[in-house]
Amino acid sequence: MHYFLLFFIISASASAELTPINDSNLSNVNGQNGAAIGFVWDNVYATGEDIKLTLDFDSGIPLVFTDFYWVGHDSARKGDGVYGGNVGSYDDPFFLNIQEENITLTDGETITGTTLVTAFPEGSYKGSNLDAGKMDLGALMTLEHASGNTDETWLLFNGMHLDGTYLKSWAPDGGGLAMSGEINFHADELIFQTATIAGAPSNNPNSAWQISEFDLYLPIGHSLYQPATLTISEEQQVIFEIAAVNSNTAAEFYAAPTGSFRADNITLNDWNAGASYIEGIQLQHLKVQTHDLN
Amino acid sequence: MTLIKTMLLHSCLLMSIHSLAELVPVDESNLANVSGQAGISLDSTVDLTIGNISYQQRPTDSYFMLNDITARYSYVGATIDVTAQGALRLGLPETLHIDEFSFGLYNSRTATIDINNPDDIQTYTIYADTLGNAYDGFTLNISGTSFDNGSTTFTDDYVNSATLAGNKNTHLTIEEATDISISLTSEDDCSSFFCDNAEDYAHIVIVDENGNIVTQAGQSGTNNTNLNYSFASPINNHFLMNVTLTGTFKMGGAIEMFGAGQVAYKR
Repeated sequence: MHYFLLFFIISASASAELTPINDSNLSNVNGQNGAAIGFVWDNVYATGEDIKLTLDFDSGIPLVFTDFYWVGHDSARKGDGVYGGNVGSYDDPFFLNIQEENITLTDGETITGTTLVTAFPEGSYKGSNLDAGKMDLGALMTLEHASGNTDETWLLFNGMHLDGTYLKSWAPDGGGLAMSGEINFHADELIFQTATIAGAPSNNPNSAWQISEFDLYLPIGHSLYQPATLTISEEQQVIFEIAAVNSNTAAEFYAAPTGSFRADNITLNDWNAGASYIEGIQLQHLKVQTHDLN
Repeated sequence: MTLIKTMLLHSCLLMSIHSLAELVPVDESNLANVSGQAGISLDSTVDLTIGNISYQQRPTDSYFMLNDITARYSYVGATIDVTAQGALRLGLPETLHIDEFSFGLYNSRTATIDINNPDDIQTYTIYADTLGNAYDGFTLNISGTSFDNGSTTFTDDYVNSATLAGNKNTHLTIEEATDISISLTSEDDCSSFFCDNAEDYAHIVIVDENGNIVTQAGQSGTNNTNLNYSFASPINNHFLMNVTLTGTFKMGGAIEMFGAGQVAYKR
């Protein structure tokens, strides 16, 4: 009987040889990487046809947007020549993730909490070469004055991307919403152009404010030393606050990267105002509170 | 010997399966040809209203609210597919026509009841009855933390701590109670030979202004029934902004979703 058992084992072993699994095999296994959900935009565009977005305030003077496009960089803005833009890749996607992280309270105590993270691709900040990662965004804003006059202004963001921008949020003790993040905004051109004609803007630099190679990098709070909070007061007012730096958090705060604003060239109609840089921005404390919401 | 034969048979069977069922790797080009991956095309017409979506920071007050949300739109040419890499691919519609998308943005808070303000009045009707043979009637007691606080009014047949002889049901209408406790006692007092099986079932039902039953208790054979209920607190909404969107969007491209693992990000 033992011989039969041995025969059985040998026959099974000969057929079911185990082979090592390499990294490329593992990369195809589903579910190995946790709970994050990645997104990529593949050739995405949207153009408005006879749209009307109305924001109506108490004042009775509405703010109206009557045209819109969001297309790939340098695409046509309407019609058959429109093509889309790509945001992210499988290796570097836009993503949502829920994760456990260390969070430092303003008194210096560090706790472990659950955070929700949403982030644009690292893209140019990580050095990856994303195909056509830039997009052009434009909207025609109309302001109807009480006198009956109307102002129209095109807001144009050409070659824009938000690579590296992220927002992390969590629930702090005491209610409200705590968050931290970074804004990384780049646009090849920012144009604010008065529009007296219907349809797409003329791109005539002599009728516009134009900022070339615009970059804004702004850290907003940090989970490890400076949380930002969004709360509602007893008086029903909205309060956005970036916690003040104190002795518990100063060392990490001053060691962190600082914010910057860069515009390589600014033109106002035919007047060239040159380059403008603001660097070393640090928000030691910020508190913004409404006063008239009741 | 039978056992030996059985094991030998199993060994031969396993060998034959292995020799015939060799596993071969399936590459992506093979997977791409699997039927069912051609995707689904969607056209849709949507007419949707939502009363409100609110964000509440504290349990008893302070809301941000999107009110009276209306979405009437239709789209043509959306697709759902799965890519060869296993990502869910959502193709944007070729055309999205929006007849109306609108909502109001409000800052809201619970408020002290103003009995002179019709918007603050919430009316509920309480029905109390015995489902059995209440020969001597029943007793209905009502109490509550905010009940009868000067802004609450009662109408109709309410009887507090008293026997309503000869009646089998009663009802009352209250306005602006925010918390209420009700007990109904029905007396199963028939002891004669002719009503041995009679039961007096205490039954309480609270109905809102639209005739919808918001809660009820005591339908199944108890003589005493208690019901505690907190009414919705009145909310004052402060208008901030109204948003309306109409028009047509021409769209293209797709958004793909997939498991991304622990993606590193700048921080």
